[in-house]
Amino acid sequence: MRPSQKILRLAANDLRLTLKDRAALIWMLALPLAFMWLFGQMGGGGNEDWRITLGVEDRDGGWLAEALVAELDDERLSLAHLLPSETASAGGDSTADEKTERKVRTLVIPEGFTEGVLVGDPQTLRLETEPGASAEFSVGAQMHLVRAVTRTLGRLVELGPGNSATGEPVGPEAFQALAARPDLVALKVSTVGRGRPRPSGTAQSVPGTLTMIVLMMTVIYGGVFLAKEKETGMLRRQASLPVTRGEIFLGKLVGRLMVAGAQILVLLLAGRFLFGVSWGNSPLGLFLVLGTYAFAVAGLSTLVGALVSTPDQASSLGWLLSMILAALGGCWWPSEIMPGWLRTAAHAFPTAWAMDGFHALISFGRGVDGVLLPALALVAFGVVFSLLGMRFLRYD
Amino acid sequence: MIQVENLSKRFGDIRAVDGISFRVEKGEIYGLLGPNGAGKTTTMSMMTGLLEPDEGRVRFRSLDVAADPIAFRQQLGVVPQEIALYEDLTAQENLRFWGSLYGLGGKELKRAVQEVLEMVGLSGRSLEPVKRFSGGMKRRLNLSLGLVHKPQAVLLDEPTVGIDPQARVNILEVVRQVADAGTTVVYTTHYLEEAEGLCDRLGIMDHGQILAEGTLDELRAMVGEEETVSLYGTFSPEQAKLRMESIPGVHLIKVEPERLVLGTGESGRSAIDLLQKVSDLTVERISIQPPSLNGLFLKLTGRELRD
Repeated sequence: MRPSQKILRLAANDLRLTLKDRAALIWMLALPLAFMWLFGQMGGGGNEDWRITLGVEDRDGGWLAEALVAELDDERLSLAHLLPSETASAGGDSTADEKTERKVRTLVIPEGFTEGVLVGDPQTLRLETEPGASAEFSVGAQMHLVRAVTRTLGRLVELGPGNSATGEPVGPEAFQALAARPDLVALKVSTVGRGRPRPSGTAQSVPGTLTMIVLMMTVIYGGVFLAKEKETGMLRRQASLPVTRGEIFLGKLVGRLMVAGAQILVLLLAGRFLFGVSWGNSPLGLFLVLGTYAFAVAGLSTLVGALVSTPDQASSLGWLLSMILAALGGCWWPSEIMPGWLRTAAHAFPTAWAMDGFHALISFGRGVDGVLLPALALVAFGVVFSLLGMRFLRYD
Repeated sequence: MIQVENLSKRFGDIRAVDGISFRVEKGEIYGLLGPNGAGKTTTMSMMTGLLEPDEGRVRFRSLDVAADPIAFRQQLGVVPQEIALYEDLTAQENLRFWGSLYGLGGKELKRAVQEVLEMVGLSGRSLEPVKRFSGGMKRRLNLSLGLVHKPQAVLLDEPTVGIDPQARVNILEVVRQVADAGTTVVYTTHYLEEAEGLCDRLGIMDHGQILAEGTLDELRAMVGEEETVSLYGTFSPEQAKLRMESIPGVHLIKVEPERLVLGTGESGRSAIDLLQKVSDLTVERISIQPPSLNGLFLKLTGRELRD
């Protein structure tokens, strides 16, 4: 029998034992889904909430007001057209809906706006913000509005005073024709270096929970299983089989890798189809991050199992390590809110690298190039943990 | 054939195994008999390659175990003292896993599992999780894991500890059956009756050494016709010792504050003489043991096996 067959048979047995343990299945699958949802809600809900909502009350109804609103149409802005009666009757904070960011700020275009602008009469647009609305989002709305006003005015200036022969002002046809033309100067904004946005909602909670739960369950169950095998004499008995100790150890490691892999797959699909999380545009990049992370935590689980004497010790140490590594690694909250020195120090743990990889894929749309460093770091963690586990695991 | 040559193992200052040698022929059951801590399990661990001996070597046929442990283990079955089973798996799943690691697969594995389950009387419970088994059933399954691949040699380390008499009888029958089929068996125990009833040859072990070795008859011959007499009462050890030394055919084995253990040369006669001579001592109870392995152990070590 080839060594790889022996390793796979040992590993498959580990997987079967885990699948037979109902408590393990609940902890590994049901609980993480609940966590993902809960943390996602605490962090601002789903990804769709990243759109800034803006109600528009067009009291003018002229073509220039409509053109201005059309300029506001942007993928990051969710517009809601309101009738004058809606704002008037709703009033106060009744329009505020903090959960969805709907109607929490309203742009009021005054009556006579189109006519006034065309004859050079100064007009005032009002952006009304409800108490409790996100200040960050309100600033974003202002920026969008200023940009739309600037573009509208720019086009009017370019078109000039209108038909000098008939004295008629600029009409909507000429304005729209100009608007259809590509911009002479375009501004592209991308995020680099320290200016990156802070991930929130399910974009933070789903990868964060996945990272934490895979770590926790792999380390605790892997450690407990190995400690139990030592305690019951099963490991000692396996050492009397026609297999080398290296093969036995690799069997345990691959077994944990398979369990972690199965858990990751389920959580990955749940994140995509239950929580609508986009895992980025690089399946290979995602595979690299997840595969190397699973290897790192599988290695850690064998190290924990090797170091302890009893399943209780493995459980306690596993919990402790998982909590510390999850918190410092940025699984519970975005690492951007941590002090710089702590963020740097957190990279002594695999969780921080895994979260870096996830954010590179999910928040910044990076590909394989963006996750190479985290993947290499995770492989290094896996190798070190595994070597230490092999060194300290005693069969007698 | 298994040959153990001058095997030694030391843990710090303690010599767990001290230069033991023995040889077990094909189809023979060799028993290592000794109290807990005698060095039996350490010997077994070195034979399986789990522990590296400080000195000596183990040979199986022409194979040096240290040089090619995997080839040796492929032909070896090991039944440890502890019940090492996966409790959440069924008996069949445990056996299939174990058999697969010996390279069995497909129909061959299925047949081997079925045969060994029948051998240990568990075929009717093969699909139940082991956690529902009684202690005796677990012991039988524990045994079957070491036999599933039909090994050429089997090492059994106290396989009947803590089980009911019925399960013990079943296990001993299976071991005999396996040996009759030509398998070399090394069996450790601290139960005299087991050793006497099962083993073809015995090594009596204590403090890491084999003190005596031979067939049951050979060992009994070492004890001769000597009976072991234990006197329980309240007496001065020195006074009692002087008194006993004056009795012909009697020799002192052990002196304790409330117990004297004596060997009597000629069965019957010496015991009667002894009783006459100790009539002035406060003897509360007398126990006379016929010639036995326990007597031999007592003679060799000054201790009883149960000590």
